[in-house]
Amino acid sequence: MSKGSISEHILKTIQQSTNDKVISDFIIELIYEEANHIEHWRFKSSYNTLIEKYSELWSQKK
Amino acid sequence: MIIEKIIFENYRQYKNVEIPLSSKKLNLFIGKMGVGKTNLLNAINWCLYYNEPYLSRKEEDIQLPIMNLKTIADAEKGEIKDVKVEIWVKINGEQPLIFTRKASFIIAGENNHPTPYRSPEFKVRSTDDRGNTEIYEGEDAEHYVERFVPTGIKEFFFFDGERLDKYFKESTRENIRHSIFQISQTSLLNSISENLNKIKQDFRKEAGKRSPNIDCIRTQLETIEKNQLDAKRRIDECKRQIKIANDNIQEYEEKLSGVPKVDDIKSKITELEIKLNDKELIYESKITEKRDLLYENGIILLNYPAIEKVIQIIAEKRKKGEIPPTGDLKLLQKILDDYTCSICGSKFSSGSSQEKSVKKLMDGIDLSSEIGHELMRIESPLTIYQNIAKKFNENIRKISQDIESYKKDLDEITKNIGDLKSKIIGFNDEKISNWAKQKKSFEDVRDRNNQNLGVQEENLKTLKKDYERLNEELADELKRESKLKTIKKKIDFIETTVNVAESIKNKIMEQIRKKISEETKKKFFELHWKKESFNEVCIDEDYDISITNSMGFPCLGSISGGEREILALSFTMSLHRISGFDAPILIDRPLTMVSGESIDYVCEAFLNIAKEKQLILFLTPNEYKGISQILNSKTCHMFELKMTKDEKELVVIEV
Repeated sequence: MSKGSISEHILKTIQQSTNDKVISDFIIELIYEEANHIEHWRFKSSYNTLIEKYSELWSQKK
Repeated sequence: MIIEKIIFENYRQYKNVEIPLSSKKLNLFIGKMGVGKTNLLNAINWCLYYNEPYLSRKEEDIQLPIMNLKTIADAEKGEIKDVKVEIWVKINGEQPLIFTRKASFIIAGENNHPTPYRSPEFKVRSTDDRGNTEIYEGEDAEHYVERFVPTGIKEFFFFDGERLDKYFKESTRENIRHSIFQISQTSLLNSISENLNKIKQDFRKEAGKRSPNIDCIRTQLETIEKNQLDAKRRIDECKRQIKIANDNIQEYEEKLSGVPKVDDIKSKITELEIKLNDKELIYESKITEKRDLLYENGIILLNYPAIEKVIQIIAEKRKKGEIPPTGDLKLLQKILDDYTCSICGSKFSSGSSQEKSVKKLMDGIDLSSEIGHELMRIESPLTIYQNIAKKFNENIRKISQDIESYKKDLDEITKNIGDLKSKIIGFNDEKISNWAKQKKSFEDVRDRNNQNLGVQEENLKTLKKDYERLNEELADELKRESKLKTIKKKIDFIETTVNVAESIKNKIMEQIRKKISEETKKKFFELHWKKESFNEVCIDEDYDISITNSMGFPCLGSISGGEREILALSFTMSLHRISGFDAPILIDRPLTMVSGESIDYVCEAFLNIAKEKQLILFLTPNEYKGISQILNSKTCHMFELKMTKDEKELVVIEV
C-alpha cells in the first residue's frame, strides 16, 4: 500500500457510504489525485477541473 | 516481507560489512554498549528516510562524522569517499528490491574532515521475473519506501526497548489515533476536505467581488471558520491534557492503592508527637512536684506516727484533766525535802498529816507541770504538722493519680505512634509521598482543563450557530443574484462532498479501530504467559487502550515492564496485519525494562513472533547471559558485534 496504491477497503467504503454516485466518484477521483500527485503539484487546478465536471453532473441529477 | 541482507560501506562503525539475515529465525545481534548495535537501526533509517533518529547523545554532542573513522584516517587529502547503506528487501519471494543511499564526501581540512561533496543519492533497484532491472530515483524511489515501511508508521517497526515500555504510558490516545489515521489512508480524505474548503473560500471571494453584501458575509464567515478551528484546537488540547492527567491519576491511584497513605499517617504521627511532647512536659512537672512535696514534707512524714501519738497522748492527758497541769511535782518535792511549805512558809514534821497530804497530792500528779507545759506548747505545731500530713496525703494522692493518668496517656500515644510507624515501615515513604503529590498535581491539571473545556465548548456552540445563520444568509444572497448561480452550485457541491468525506473518514477510522482492538486482544492473549490474569484488552471509541485483570479492574498502569512490552508488540503486530505492511520488526535492547521471570516469557514471546514475521533484536552480552537457554544458535540466527583493536571498525561474526 503506497501513496500510489489505494486500499480496496477505502474505495469500497466510499462507494458504500453514499447513494450519491456523483459524489462518491468525485471523492474517488480526488483520492487518486491526492495519492498520485507529483512534486510541485498545484492542487487547485486539478480540483477545479474536477469540481467543474462533477458539480455540473450533480446539478443535472438534482 | 523480509530484509534479506544489509550492506554497509564506510557507514559509522560499519566499514565494509555485509549482514545476511534469516527469514525463518529470530535474528539476534549481541554486542557491548557503544559497539554500534543502535547504529544498525540508524543505518536502516538513514538509507530509507535519510535520518538517524537513534544517535546516542555522545555521537550527537561531539558530532561524529557519519563516515567510518578508519576510512577517514586512511584517506588522502582531497580524496572523495562514499558512505553507502544498501538494504535488500524481499517481498513474497519475488526478486529483491534493493534500496541504496549513497553520500559522497571530500576529505579536506586539517583534520581530514569529510565534507559533503555532492547531494546524497537514493535509488531503488527492482528486477522482474524475466530479469529486467529497473532503477528508480527521487519520488519514484520514495514510493517504494512507502511500500516497504511508510514514513508515517515507521515508528511501529523500529523500536528501542525503553520506548516500547513507555509506549502505552505516554499520550496513548494520540499514538493510537495517529497510527489508525496513518494506516487507514484517511489522511487522504483529510487532505481532500482541507483542499475543498480552500477552494470554497475562493468561490466565496469571487462572489464577494460581485456583491458587497456577500463580501461582508464572507468576511464574517471566514472569521468564524478561523475561530471555530481555534476553538476546536483548544478543545482537543483540553481533552488531551485531561486524558493525560486522567491516565496519570489512574496510574498513581493504582500505585497508591497497595500502599499506606503515608502523608496522612505522617501528619497523624506529627500531631501525636506534638501531643506526646506536651504531655511529657506536664508529666515531668508532676513528677517534680511530687518529688518536691515529698522532700518538703519528708521529716513530718517520717515522724508522723510520733506526732499522731503525741497528739493522742495530749488529748488523753487533757481528757484526764492532766493538762493543763494541776500541781507542780518539783515544788511539792521541795516542800517534802524542806518540811516547809514554800507557799505559806509553815513547817511540818516527818510523819505529820501535812507530810502525808503532800505525799498524797504527789501521788495524784503523774505529769510534771513542765512536761504538761511542754506538751501544751508542742500541741499546736504538732496539730499543724498533722494537718499538713493529712493534706499531703490528699495532694500526693492527687499528684500520683495525675502522674498515673499522664503515664497512661503517654503509653497510649507512644503505642499509637508505634502502630502508625509500623504501617509505613518498609515502604519508601518519600517515594509514596511523591506519588501522592504527583497525583494531586494531575488532579489540579484535570480540573483546570475541565473548566476550560466547558468554556470552549460553549464558545464553539455559539460559533456554530453564527456560522449556520451566516451561511443561510449567504445562500439567500447568492440565490438573489442570478449571475452567481454557478458559484452557488459549486459551493453547495463542495459542502456536500466535504460532509460525505468527513463521514467516510470517521467510518473508516472506526472500522480500523475495531479491527485493531480485536487483533490486539487476540495477539496479547496468544503471547501472554499468564492469560488467566487478564480478561480484556480493548481500544475504545476515544482510542484509549485499556486492559482489565481477572477481577475486572483496569490495570494498564500497574502491569509489569514485560507485560507492557507484550501489549505494545501485540498492538504493533495488529497494526502490521490490519495495514497489510508485513515489514520486519527491529528492537534495540528489548529487555531493558523487563525484569524477573518476565524475561524468559518475553523471550518465548519473541520466538513466537519470529514464527510469523522477521524479528531483529539487539542485546548486550550481559542481557544475553540470562537468556541463552531460550535464545541461542538453535533457535536464532545469531551475530556477534565486535570492534577492532583500534576501535574504528566493527566486525560482524555469525555465531
